[in-house]
Amino acid sequence: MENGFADRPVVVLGFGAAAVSAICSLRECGYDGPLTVVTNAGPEPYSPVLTSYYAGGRIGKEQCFPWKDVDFSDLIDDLLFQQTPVSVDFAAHEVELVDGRRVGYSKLLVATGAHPVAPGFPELGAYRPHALRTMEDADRLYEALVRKPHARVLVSGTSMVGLKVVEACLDRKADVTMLGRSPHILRVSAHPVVAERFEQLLEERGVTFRLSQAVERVEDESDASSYVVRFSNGDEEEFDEVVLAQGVKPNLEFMDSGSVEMGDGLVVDSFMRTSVPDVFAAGDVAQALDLSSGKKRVIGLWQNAVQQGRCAGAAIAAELAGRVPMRRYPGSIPSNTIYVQDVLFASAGSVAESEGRIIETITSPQSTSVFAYERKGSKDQLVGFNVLAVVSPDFKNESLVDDIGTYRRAILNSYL
Amino acid sequence: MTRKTLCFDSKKCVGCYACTVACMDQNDIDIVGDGLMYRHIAHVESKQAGEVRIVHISMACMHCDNAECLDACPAGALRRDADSGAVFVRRELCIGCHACAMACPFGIPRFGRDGTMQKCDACYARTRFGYDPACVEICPTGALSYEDVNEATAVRLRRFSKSFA
Ligand SMILES: Cc1cc2nc3c(=O)[nH]c(=O)nc-3n(C[C@H](O)[C@H](O)[C@H](O)COP(=O)(O)OP(=O)(O)OC[C@H]3O[C@@H](n4cnc5c(N)ncnc54)[C@H](O)[C@@H]3O)c2cc1C
Repeated sequence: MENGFADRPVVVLGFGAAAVSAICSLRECGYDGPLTVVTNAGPEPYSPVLTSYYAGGRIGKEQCFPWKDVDFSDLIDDLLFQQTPVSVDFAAHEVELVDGRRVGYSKLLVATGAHPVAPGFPELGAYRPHALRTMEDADRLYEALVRKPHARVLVSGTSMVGLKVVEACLDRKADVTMLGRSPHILRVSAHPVVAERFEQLLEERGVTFRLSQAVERVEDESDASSYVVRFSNGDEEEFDEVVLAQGVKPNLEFMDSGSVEMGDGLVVDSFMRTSVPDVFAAGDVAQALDLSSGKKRVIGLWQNAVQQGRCAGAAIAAELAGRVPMRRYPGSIPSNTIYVQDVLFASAGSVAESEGRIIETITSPQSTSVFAYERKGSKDQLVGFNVLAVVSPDFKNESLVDDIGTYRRAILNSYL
Repeated sequence: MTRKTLCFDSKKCVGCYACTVACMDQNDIDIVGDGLMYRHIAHVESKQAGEVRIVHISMACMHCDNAECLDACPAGALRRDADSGAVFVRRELCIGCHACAMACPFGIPRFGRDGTMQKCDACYARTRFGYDPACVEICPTGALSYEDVNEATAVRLRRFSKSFA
């Protein structure tokens, strides 16, 4: 490295799936120089995926920290926790922190994940609705669900995280209502036939749906222990808690969008390099290749974060050693597994109806599945699937569930 | 410790199921109850030059070098044993989310009555004391073997290079 920054540490912003994977990979690839990590959370990395399991009481809080057997003191020289970057000076290779400190870097990895957003949801006055991403969010939801058994909970948003919150609520015997603007849940990943069956199965398990609706107004009751929600169809209903699960946005407030190529995240190449020299990105902040559309977009999944982090770590180590990076991130396809009680939904690729696509539906008493094919050459190629099944060890019928990985691989192989 | 790997030679497999039975015995798998088998035999029929050929394939977790299940598990329930290279599941940490099943291209992960994932751990309980995995030990034809990774790679490359001769 000839730019005069070589003796500075590698700086990693964030300490989640992508960051941990990058840190391990950096060291495995031979980088033995200084390494600084800056995170706005505590000193132990957590998994956002586990927060709903903790809030619902399936696992203990200590289980939300899945890297207990990694000795980070061996890997990281300086761990700055409960710290937030406010800006990055690309020319000076420096990150400015909220306490005014400036941390110089040789290479910078941005792996700060995402935060929940709720576009269109009305202001709630004094009441702070719940969301689920951080350990603080999980603690708050946990306490709310434990404090009031059979609480009336409104979950706004019908995506993966919304359904995970629903699962936590059912585990706590809460009375849960799911609200969405679209006519069906999982608008992006589920075919309407599968979504409708999923809704029926969840209704049988105690979930109430308000679909094709929005919230117009929320009013605190005088004792602030419950909230009256007015919906777009004129209905009014009282809830004890409101959880927003409408979507997420990357944590990039400290990045100057004028100086680096940004869309819904930081645009990266296959070595996770952004448009700015020496700045890398991985995980829910990175806009990487979506194989199914051929476009770059954020696909916010755990496995993507881990694999992108590994590629970023390897590329940083290679560049600092004067080598050409070799480990490319190949891109990914959207995929999902959601388990609510005994109902499993798995999807990969796209099952959207479109010109020239063949959609096959398979229904049995315990399952509904959709497979989407596109003609490529002389073959019908699988491009997406949904498998929805009531999974019970008593039915040995679910070979469809056992095979979800082989279907996903078939889709990936058609792009790679 | 030399890293070893499970190898399978389909030319030697006669599909006798001894490996699956030894696996059930070693892992106390009660398939009459709700036990899940870790090893399966597939019989693949094909027609070559007018003749029907049957190939038997004994399959369990491949303990892949780039094991996608390891990357996909958000709970730290899957780990690779540094000595043996085997990928094993810590069921007490498994949340049953099926992310590993979605990631595995071979359809290996199975979920038991308690909702946690179960699969072959390359007989870690035996190999750490220097014994071969149960399926290897029982295999009467030598189709399954447990070999030094480098030796196994060399054999595979020799076989592959012969295809150019
Ligand atoms: C409830 C829930 C359930 C989910 N379930 C699944 C699932 O089943 N399967 C799946 O594939 N994915 C799931 N996801 C998504 C998955 O958690 C993410 O895709 C993955 O964690 C992304 O990893 P990451 O490292 O980019 O972000 P994170 O894991 O969120 O890590 C970000 C890190 O950056 C830190 N940070 C944030 N902002 C700043 C800042 N300004 N400065 C410094 N540090 C900062 C955070 O504290 C954290 O340490 C779920 C997410 C949620 C919330």
